[in-house]
Amino acid sequence: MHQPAEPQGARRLRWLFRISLACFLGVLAQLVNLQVYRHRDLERQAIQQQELDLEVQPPRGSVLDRSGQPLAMSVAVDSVSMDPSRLEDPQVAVEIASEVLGLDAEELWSRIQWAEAHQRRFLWIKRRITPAESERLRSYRLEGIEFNAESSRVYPKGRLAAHVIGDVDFQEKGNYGIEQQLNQELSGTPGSVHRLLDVKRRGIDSQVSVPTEPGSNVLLTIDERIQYAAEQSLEAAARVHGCRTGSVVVLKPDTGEVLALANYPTFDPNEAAERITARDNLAVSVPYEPGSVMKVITIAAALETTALRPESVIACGNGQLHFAGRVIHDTAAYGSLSMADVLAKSSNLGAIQIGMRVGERRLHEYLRRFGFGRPTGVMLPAESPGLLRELSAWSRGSIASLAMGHEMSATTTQLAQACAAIANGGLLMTPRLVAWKQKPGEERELIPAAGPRRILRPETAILLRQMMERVVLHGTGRQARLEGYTAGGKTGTAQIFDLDAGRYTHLYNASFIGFAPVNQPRVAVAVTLNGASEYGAAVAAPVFREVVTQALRALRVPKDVPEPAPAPTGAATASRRSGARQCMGPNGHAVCIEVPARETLVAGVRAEPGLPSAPPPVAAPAMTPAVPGQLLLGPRVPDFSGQSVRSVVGQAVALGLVVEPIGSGLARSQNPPPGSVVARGERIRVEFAR
Amino acid sequence: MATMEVVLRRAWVEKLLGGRSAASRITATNDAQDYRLRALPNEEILFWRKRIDNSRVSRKPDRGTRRAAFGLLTAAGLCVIAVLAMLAPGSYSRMAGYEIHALEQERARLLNERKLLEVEQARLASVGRLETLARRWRFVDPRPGQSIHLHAPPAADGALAWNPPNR
Repeated sequence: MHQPAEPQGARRLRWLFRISLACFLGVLAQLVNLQVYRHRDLERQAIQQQELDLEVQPPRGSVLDRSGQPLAMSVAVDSVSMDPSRLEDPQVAVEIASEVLGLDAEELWSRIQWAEAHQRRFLWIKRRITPAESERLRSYRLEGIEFNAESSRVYPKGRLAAHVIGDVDFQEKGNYGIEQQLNQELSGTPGSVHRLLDVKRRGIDSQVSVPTEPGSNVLLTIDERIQYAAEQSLEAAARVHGCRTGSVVVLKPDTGEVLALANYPTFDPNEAAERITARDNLAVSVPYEPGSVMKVITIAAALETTALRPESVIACGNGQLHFAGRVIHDTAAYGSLSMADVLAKSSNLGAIQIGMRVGERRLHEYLRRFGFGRPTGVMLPAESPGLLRELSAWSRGSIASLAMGHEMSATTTQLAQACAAIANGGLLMTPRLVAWKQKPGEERELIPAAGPRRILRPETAILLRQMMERVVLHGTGRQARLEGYTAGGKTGTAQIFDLDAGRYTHLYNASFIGFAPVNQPRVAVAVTLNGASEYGAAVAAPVFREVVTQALRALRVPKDVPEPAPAPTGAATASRRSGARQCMGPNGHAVCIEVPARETLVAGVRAEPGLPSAPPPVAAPAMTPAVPGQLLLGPRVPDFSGQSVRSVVGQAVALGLVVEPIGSGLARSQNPPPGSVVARGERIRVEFAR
Repeated sequence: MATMEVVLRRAWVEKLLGGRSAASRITATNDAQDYRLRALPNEEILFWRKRIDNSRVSRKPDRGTRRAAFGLLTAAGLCVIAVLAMLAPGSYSRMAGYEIHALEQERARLLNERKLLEVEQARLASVGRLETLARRWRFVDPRPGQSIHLHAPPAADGALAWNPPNR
């Protein structure tokens, strides 16, 4: 049978179907190839291209001073890297990069050559560049040069409190100081983010895999102003007296807060390349032989454990003592001194006699009680416990050495802690450096201070304070006397032993411990300067005076003794000569005015002789009094010297003054001095002796 | 009348023979024609043009076709809408992702800028710098005795002010 001819349309459809089927099979085959055989490889590539697991480093916490001023902060900066294979014109790129970043073009070129030779596709050019450098380099839009976000630690105050803060390494891990001690808290915990990317590697979607815990901000007890004063005074004294090293620690006696901790030499934590030796925290890590400042501890032990009182007479052997096979000399040939004078005049032999009365066991116990021979617990790394040998290791002559601060070593922080214990009434406080820490968005976490430990009876501490005030008023610490404040302290000088030569040198560890004001101490300070050619009285006491003056001003402590009147000058002299005084105020309320020179009142700017005139003040407040003059707050203090207690008290009552007699016999000294003007109710301390 | 085949054949033969003489060509043609069939009847096709006026012809509306066309268009539109509806959330999500990412970067930049400003402020307010400035402007510390102690009356609510006595 003849088959009818197939329509042409059907034939075409059949071909179309065949072609489609072939295409479909081709696609299916490719799908099987991609989805089955090359699945894993392609999936890995896809994940590499489209997804990114980022480790997110949390921002490192800031370090603040007690008023919230930032001492250390982390900011995001750019680091520049290069892919040599992608550089269009390497020579041009090198020229531009070296010019913008201040690099050596030849060195950079050689590094690129090396990277190309070793087929490296990543090369750091410069890390942590400044924002200005980054902006300038970005503007060139160089192919192959990439910017990587990194974090940089910045210390805006430079050298201020460098030893307290420390610094960080290139991975922002703490080195030294609080940065090291609280590294974990400051660093936080890194998290991770799963991010989807587009073809240009831009983020489309992010999912937090592990949440980031930001680092805590840490508030220190350091006061920026006191710290600055301590550093400046220490450096000036070290330079003047040619000292190798030095340190100052300022504590708040009632809380143990560290207001300042300064060392010389110091360093700038912003400069990583500075001398490594300057980074030693001498005040905490380096003990030294303290010398006579330890006589305070000897006398404290005597007051607590013997019948000795400040007025008890101590035989000082006329400046020479044979003890345990050696001859010990005193600074001067004293026959006998009261115990208070032993401290005031810093008699070595007197201290030895007192120490012997105390006895080895009790002296050792009190040295331990004051915290010597063990770390103070201040929150700083590498703290030294100092050296205080066990009683069993003492030689026969050890008690004599230890009574005057030898055969042992202590850090400046330990001395400050001991001084604070006397100042606060007999409680040993752990030095507290960190007030609180706070994670962003969370409550502050107060760092509790270790509980105080009573080491002295309060009355003993008060007696010691009075005796130490005497050191400043009449003894070796006169250079520590403050204007407007009472102060107590003790000087110390220890000869430095040359280990190589095997003998003592003529260089000294000069030290001073003290507090102010005497009645209610607000600061306790320890100063040490090593390698001085003079004694502690000349080297360390002035540092104490300068630091404490600034500290009391910064802490707004009211003055407790009248200030000496200012030297009269110019118009002020004339007005004072006229005897002008002013008591103002309505309703009988006194406004007590001590009228200064007019120019000082106006703006606090006064042209000094020999210097060009100061710029004009911005605004002069209308504070000029109607009649310049000086107000007398009360009666002048008479001269009580040589009078008996009865006579002094009678005279004081007649004048309406309050007298605080100390001791018995005839009046030997008084504070305020004769002729001073005292405020109503202010006490006059009169010391009597036979 | 020569048929189309004859005409074409002649042309083909002439082309084949090329530069031969006309006589030889005719001879060759005649020889060849002797062995060929004669033309079939009605084999000739004649073309002529005829004018047709369609101006008065109108197309009859085909409702079925139109309905089918509209149906097809509607289905295609619905398909497009469905596809768009499926793609839209993803696209919006992607756009939002870009925006969020850009905002995150902006936030980080602003936070960093604020930190930089805080650092700068701290630098400017550092005691050392203020001390230097004070020296440059020849400021002096007030000497002892150059301070003013004001005792506020109870009604002053702690405010201290210079009140000359004659007022």
